[in-house]
Amino acid sequence: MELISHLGIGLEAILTWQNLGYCFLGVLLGTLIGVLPGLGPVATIAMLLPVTYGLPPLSALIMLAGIYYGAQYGGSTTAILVNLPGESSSVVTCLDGYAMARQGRAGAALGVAALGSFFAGTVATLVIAAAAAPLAELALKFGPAEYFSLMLLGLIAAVVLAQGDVFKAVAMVVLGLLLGLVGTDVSSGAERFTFGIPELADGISFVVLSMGLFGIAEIIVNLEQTNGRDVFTARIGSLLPSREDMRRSWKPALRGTALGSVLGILPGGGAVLSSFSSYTLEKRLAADPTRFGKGAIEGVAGPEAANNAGAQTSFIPLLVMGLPSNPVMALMVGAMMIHGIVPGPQVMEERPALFWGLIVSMWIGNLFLVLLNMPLIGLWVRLLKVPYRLLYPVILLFCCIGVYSVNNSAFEVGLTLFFGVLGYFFVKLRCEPAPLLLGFVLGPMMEENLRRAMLLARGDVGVFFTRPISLALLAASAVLLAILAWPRARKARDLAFQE
Amino acid sequence: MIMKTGFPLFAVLLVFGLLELSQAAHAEYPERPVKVIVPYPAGGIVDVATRIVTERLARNWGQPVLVENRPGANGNIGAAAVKNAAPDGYTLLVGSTFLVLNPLLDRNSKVSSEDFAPIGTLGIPPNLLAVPAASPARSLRDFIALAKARPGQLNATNPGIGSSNHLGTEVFSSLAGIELTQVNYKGQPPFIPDLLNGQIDFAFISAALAAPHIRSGKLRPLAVSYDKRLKSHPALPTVGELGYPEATVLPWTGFFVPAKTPAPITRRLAAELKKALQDAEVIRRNDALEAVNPDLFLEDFARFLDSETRRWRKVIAERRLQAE
Repeated sequence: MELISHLGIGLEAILTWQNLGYCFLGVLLGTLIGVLPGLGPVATIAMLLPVTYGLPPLSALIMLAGIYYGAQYGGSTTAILVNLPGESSSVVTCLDGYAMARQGRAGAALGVAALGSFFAGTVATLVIAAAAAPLAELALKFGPAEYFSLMLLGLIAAVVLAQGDVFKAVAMVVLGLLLGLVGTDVSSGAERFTFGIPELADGISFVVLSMGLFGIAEIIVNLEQTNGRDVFTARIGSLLPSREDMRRSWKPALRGTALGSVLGILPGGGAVLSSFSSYTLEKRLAADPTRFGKGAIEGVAGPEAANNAGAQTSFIPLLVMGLPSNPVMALMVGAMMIHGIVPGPQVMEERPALFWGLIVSMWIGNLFLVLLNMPLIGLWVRLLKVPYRLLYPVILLFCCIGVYSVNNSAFEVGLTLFFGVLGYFFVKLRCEPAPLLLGFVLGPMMEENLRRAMLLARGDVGVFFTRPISLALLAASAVLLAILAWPRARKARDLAFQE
Repeated sequence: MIMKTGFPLFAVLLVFGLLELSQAAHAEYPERPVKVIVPYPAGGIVDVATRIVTERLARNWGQPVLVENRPGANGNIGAAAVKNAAPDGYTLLVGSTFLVLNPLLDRNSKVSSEDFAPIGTLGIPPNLLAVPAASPARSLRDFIALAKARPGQLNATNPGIGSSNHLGTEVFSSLAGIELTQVNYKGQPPFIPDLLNGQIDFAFISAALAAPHIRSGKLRPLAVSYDKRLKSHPALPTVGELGYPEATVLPWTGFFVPAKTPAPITRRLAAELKKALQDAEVIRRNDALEAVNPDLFLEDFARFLDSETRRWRKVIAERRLQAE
């Protein structure tokens, strides 16, 4: 009952024309910057911070939060239509979403992504309202040893992600780990692989790498095709998901929501891990895993639900403990501090209207998003009819603006082009960039936490096996490794049955 | 943004041209937008502390003050951009301890405090010496006794080599004659969970970040690393009162301009900063951030920078802190 009275406080706070207006403005802006490749919520929120000075704190936070989860919706649109992941969490959406678009099923993919995200957003909002405090306590139990074991599990899952050769996938993960090493070593302060270039002292940015490997490489490949004006089948197909699509999607969306809600709470890799692990899970559970990577709708529904749920629950550590779990949340801390609110456990008690208002606004924002995005699907799909020779310069331009906006650095724009060319060679060599990106994101965190855990344990490896959460994660990694060999066995069995 | 048709572009040029003329008439600084480069990410403590002041300056001047975040290489990238900017007072740097420390820690550092003319300090939250609530230490004296009983066994945090937190921990350990194991993190927020759950025993932590956890009872402050007590924690002693005045390590932050900027402009900027800092709203926002300000301007600030350089050169040599 307490829950209902809390939601009542929130509803009362947000149901003013002004707050609803800022909520809508936020999600609209978020959708737009999400759709534009490269422009991300970090740069947008940073630019809007000064504007929020003049607003009441609740309106400001509602708008900034709307930009964040709105960008998650918009980001999947670009991933599906032009194979550009705007956010680390939409990398996996590219795999099957873009394959669907090329088969003329972009509408179905977009529809399932929007509905799956709405469902996940609704559930995650309830999770925040009901269980924020206990969940935050769980996050506090995650020390360096637990993080190391979680990252290990994630890396093994990355290999499962790959479509083809396991050997190539491992090679790509290792390359990702190496790229992740670029920059200043946290423990010693020494620079690694920076070649004296100050711009590399903080490592390669994720946006640079993903934009190059996915977006720019894809453009080069498309331009190479001689008949190439029509990258997409002329037939657009149904704009909405069919009954069959929905039947295939609801379970993955449900599982994705659960995964995302839990993993989103963890700082750092939470949002990325949730979409990656949801994809891995669906591929494992599928009757025919070979469909994945070739337009399996489950591969869109699950990860999309997971990343939206994760985006929502990543507010928990911020709201309950004042701990930002990703760069956007760090900006939200800044936005709150500008208004003289120090985020932390006291916010819930001292400013209930603000706290619950923000939470209720997330559900209302998700509602706006689905109402906004469903009619827009027709428009987005029609965008694919634009001749590619007109479309690709626009994509390139936005990629450059987007990359520049992250750190105001021209060096990073050049680096993106470099990775674009590298990505083109990967396509030629039939190497998947997704495992590389996961290795890149998880590798540095894994190293940092490994060294930290070992230092705290004064060199005793046993720490990974004596802490229960860490042990459970390591056991899960072992199980996953064991079943890596399984599909081969199953394939042989399937063949035998066909004979 | 390039306009396709000639007319709007022409109109824009015309309007700007007229503005230029009308302003040349009274030619008072600033006659166009001022850019402030923050060499840290948006939303961080330094960024927030800067925006509190720039917002007031923009209103006082009737000119936009654009905050541009150019993070990277421990402040070097943003500082290099200002060092090479025109010395006309329209490009400011938010400099911090890194201006003094980078040249001392890294022989290849391309910027130093000598490349800039100091204007004045901004309000910034000082560091607190804190332990998790579960720690048996009730006072700094308790903690020192605890650490002496278990040399090398207690963990402290290091959120960045050369950060005020790192140097504060080094100086304090040396003065108190204790040995702590430093665990490295990328910035302060990531170490907070490990500090709260007791894997870390001690931290030099920004008062702004510590405040919510002190109020929720998960963190116990033992002292403030500043020469005055904090308004928000009047009962909390300073390190000086406890006998370790040298352990005062403030992550001081201030406005800088390129070294060749003419004196009338630096004097004007210092006066404008002083005025903005006295504004009631700015004071209220700084208080909410737990910020303190040593109120150093121009020559006083320059003298302070010299003393900082001497101080840290000695500490870095004694404690062998230089990265290899």
